[in-house]
Amino acid sequence: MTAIETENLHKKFLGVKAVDGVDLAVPEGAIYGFLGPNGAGKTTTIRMILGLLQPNKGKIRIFGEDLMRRRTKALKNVGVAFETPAHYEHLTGRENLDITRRLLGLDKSEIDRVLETVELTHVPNRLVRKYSLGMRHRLGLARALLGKPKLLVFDEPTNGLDPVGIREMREFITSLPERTGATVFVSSHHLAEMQQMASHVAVIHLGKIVFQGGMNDLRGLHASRLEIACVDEAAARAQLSGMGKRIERRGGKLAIELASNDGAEAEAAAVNRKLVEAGVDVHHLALAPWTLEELFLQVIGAPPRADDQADA
Amino acid sequence: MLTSIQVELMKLKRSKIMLVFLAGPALVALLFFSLQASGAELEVWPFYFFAGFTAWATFMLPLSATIIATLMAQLEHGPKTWAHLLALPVPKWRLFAAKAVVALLLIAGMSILTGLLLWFGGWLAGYLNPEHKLIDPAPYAALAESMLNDEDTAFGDLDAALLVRNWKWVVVERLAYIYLSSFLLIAVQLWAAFKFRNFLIPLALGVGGGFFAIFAQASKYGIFFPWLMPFNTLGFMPEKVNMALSLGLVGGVAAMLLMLIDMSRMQIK
Ligand SMILES: Nc1ncnc2c1ncn2[C@@H]1O[C@H](COP(=O)(O)OP(=O)(O)OP(=O)(O)O)[C@@H](O)[C@H]1O
Ligand SMILES: [Mg+2]
Repeated sequence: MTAIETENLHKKFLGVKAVDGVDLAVPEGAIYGFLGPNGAGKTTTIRMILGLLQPNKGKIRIFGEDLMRRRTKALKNVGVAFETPAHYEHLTGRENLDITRRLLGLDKSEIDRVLETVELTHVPNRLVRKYSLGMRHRLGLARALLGKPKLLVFDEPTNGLDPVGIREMREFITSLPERTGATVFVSSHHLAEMQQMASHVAVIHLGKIVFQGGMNDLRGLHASRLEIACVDEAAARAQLSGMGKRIERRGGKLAIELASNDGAEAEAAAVNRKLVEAGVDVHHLALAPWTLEELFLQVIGAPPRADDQADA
Repeated sequence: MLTSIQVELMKLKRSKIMLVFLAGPALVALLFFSLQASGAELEVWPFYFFAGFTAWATFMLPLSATIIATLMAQLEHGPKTWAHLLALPVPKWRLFAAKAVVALLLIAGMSILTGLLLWFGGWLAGYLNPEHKLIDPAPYAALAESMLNDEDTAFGDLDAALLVRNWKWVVVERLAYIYLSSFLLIAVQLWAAFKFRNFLIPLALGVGGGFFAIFAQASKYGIFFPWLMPFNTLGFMPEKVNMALSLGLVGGVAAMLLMLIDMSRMQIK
């Protein structure tokens, strides 16, 4: 069954087409990455899927249930965590969870269960006002998990977290389908992050879906890039030019484009061998994933242009 | 629905609403206690109560309703919890209805507290200085009947009505009238507080409403002014009292329903 299905979804804000004909099909059991630059329309789409925003046009079904006609039924098995975790600051973590638990009509034991799941058992009786951002995110996650929903919707769940927090969150989300059997719909503007967690992906740009499919299909869409770092950079440049490669400099390293994605590993090894044989010491050599910008170059033939960047 | 109300009550924990709940009635009672203790001329209990009720109906109740509605809505506007609440598989109107019920319960509680504290203040003033003791009106029932039958002034009627019926009942009845006729202004305040993220808007509405009530009093159309309805139920011309009561109560219930319909369409942008 399809967990989320949207059909020709439209939303306009004062003439801006924030969401412009979005068709999504999120298969059950997937970790579905919803990828797009700032202002692409991710949050707007998610709000419509949750019945928080009325679309100008289009249909939404959640586990086959029509959202517009039977909202409460459609959202019965949905847990949500938003970009910025919002809680009652003057209440404790436990009291915050208790509010949602009661509204969902769940057993008291659910609170301890979700607190344990997100590893927040040490601070449940502290006021949220005194929580760190990381704790707030985890409390938001805990709230989303109340009642073991079949679908979890996360809008940029790593927003504002430090690298450790981002990794923990990513690992946690990756473990969810296995642990709870839930389908996860997660938005992000970070391609590398998505590549590490998602099984499926939809790419949105200026309100339109420009790619949708399995994560592997997306990998096939672009060639890999090889990053090289050497002590004697000039010598390396000479060697690489000799191979007919165009050389770029990125983040203190040299980068070349490889001929194809399939033969990427073999080609990388060959390049390495040639450099070493020519007496150039290589101390870093890695296949680098594409950035979102490069992906867009591949998919739409242009760099992403967020609305808020358009005027600049 | 009971769960939703319970949840709203839980959210009031550690919030300033409980302070308003106690401070409003206490201030009214304190004011009239000090007046009485310093030798005001309200020798009779019902007049003392009516004076206190006037302060409650014209000033403290509308102000408290404004603050309570605004605080309750800011509880969600502030941390932006609307999105989470409205994405729950619970009918949206129920969330707003629960808040309205809690606001109405709080103001009912404040009304009762105002009555009790006024009573206590009056008793205390007499206890501290027997010269300032408040007394029951004289039971001149027969005289009162004749006064009622006269085409008399409103104040003559007041005296008479209090004499014929047990004055305590009249006091309780009027306190209830004030409360019921305030439903319309409470509904309007709630609506404004839910609708606008900026708390200055409902606050300005409440303060403005209370302020214009002073001028509306002189106007022929003053009876239609929501902020004046509680005060109007204190009069002793039955038509005016009934008008204020029914407009405030029926209008209030209707406004609450419209508010629920409108707010359940709230868009989270
Ligand atoms: N309330 C609003 N009023 C007017 N325009 C809006 C509103 N909300 C969003 N927009 C516009 O709609 C477009 C999509 O915004 P949206 O927030 O959905 O993007 P997003 O993909 O979530 O971006 P981000 O990664 O920054 O969160 C943007 O051009 C934005 O400016
Ligand atoms: Mg967003």
